[in-house]
Amino acid sequence: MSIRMWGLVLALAGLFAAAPARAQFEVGGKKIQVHGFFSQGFVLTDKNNFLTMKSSDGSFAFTDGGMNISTKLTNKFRVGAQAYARNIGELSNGRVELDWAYGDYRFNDWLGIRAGKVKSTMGLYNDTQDMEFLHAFALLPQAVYPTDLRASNISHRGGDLYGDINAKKAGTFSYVFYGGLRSDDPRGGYRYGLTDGGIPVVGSVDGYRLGLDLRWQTPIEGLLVGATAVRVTTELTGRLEAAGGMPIGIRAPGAKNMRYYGEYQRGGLKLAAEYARDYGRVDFTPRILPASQIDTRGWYVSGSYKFHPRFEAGAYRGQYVYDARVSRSLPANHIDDTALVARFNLKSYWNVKVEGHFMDGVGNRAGTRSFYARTNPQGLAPRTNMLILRTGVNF
Amino acid sequence: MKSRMAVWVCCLAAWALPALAEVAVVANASVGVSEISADELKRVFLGAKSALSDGSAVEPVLLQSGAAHELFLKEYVGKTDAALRNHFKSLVFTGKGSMPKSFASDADVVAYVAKTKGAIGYVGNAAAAAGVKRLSVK
Repeated sequence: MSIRMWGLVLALAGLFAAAPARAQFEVGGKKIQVHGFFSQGFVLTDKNNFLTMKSSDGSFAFTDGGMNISTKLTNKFRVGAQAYARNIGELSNGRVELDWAYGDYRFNDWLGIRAGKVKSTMGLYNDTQDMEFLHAFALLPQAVYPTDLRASNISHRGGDLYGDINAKKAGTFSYVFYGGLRSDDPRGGYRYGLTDGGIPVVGSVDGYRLGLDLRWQTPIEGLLVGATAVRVTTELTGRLEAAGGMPIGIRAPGAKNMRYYGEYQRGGLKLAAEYARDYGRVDFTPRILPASQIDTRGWYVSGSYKFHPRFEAGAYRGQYVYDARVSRSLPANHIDDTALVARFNLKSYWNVKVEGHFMDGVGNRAGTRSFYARTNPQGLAPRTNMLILRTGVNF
Repeated sequence: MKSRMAVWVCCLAAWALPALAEVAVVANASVGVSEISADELKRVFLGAKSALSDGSAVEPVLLQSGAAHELFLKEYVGKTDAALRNHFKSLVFTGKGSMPKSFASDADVVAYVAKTKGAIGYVGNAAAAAGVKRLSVK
């Protein structure tokens, strides 16, 4: 763990020691809320190194935390911002980023607008994927919520139109329509994947996201179903190492991310299922590489049950297929992951999770999903078992 | 025999009475309505509604624990205490809402609601509710 990351850990620990007592205070008659979270994990794998961590030796490089401040300026207008940092193997390396920062004006139940840097709604948990305390699992199903590609999906600089439509006995329909510039992390998995594939990125990764999420809180108490459709463009310049570092433009003019999901929550029981498809065309300029098609699929089903306020257990089964046009049975074209978790709530603000993963397959042909060439120079074994211990606090 | 029957009848009646009678919904005097629909109440306490149908701005206020709290969540919100806390945390940490005020006792809820414009809370039905208005739930 870098000195910078240790500094972040110590600073956050100090804030956590002092903050809960004054999570809300008043300035000029306005109530201001401050909230934060911090988590630390340990990851041990039997074979391949996972998510750029040296996990086969056991790795503590699984740290993240965030802190936000917000207030209501009027009954209809809220403002706020959150800083976030993580150090997961070589991902992000403790870089502190502005996670979200926006103004939110709600005209009425069925129409509101947010503008600024906004968390992107995509599927059930895209916008809450960093908040481990909201989920039974230490690691969300990577088939749909890849931790290494967080930066590509997590937010957009632009705005949302959103609202709820109460259909009385038919339940409530909610929508979010959004658009804006896509997010990026110079130390994110998207760039590492391209670099490990022989095309390191030069400069920024540009593009926009345009999305629509529709969800229906059905008349059956606790049952939610929905779908998200996102159009995302990508433009970047890389250096083609196989051609002596020749600059090459990479452009995905209209990739689509589709998500279909359902969740049922009743008492201590929580069931969820999602299906994801990401597809589109990638063009290269100059055309020394042929245009390629991407068609990635992923799905999971999960269940958890809170047996006691202090104890919850759960499991999920997820499958990721890199290229649906090719046989998924190839180890380098899929990851099947079965996870089992036990979660202990030591306090309302402090949990500990013990989670086992049993993975088959290694991701994709270039080794750029979950299992990276840079931390697996010896090559990849077809199966990986993994233990995760993770603890988190929030206020 | 008659007295034993009477005890049974009383017990049955008490069991059959709507549990909702054990909880009173209270609001600051600025809240313009005297009754609220169960659906509106649920949406207020899920942070999805910040104004009532008459335009009154509202702010939910929670109890931290206790029988009235559990009953209110079960009957009106449809979530457990832990699930409701997680719901609000998901709003707070994505910037889509604030954590509502919560208090340890009925008296603290009543005191806060009485002095805070738009505040709407719930207390045990037997609690003294001086300075606040009781809302009936339709």
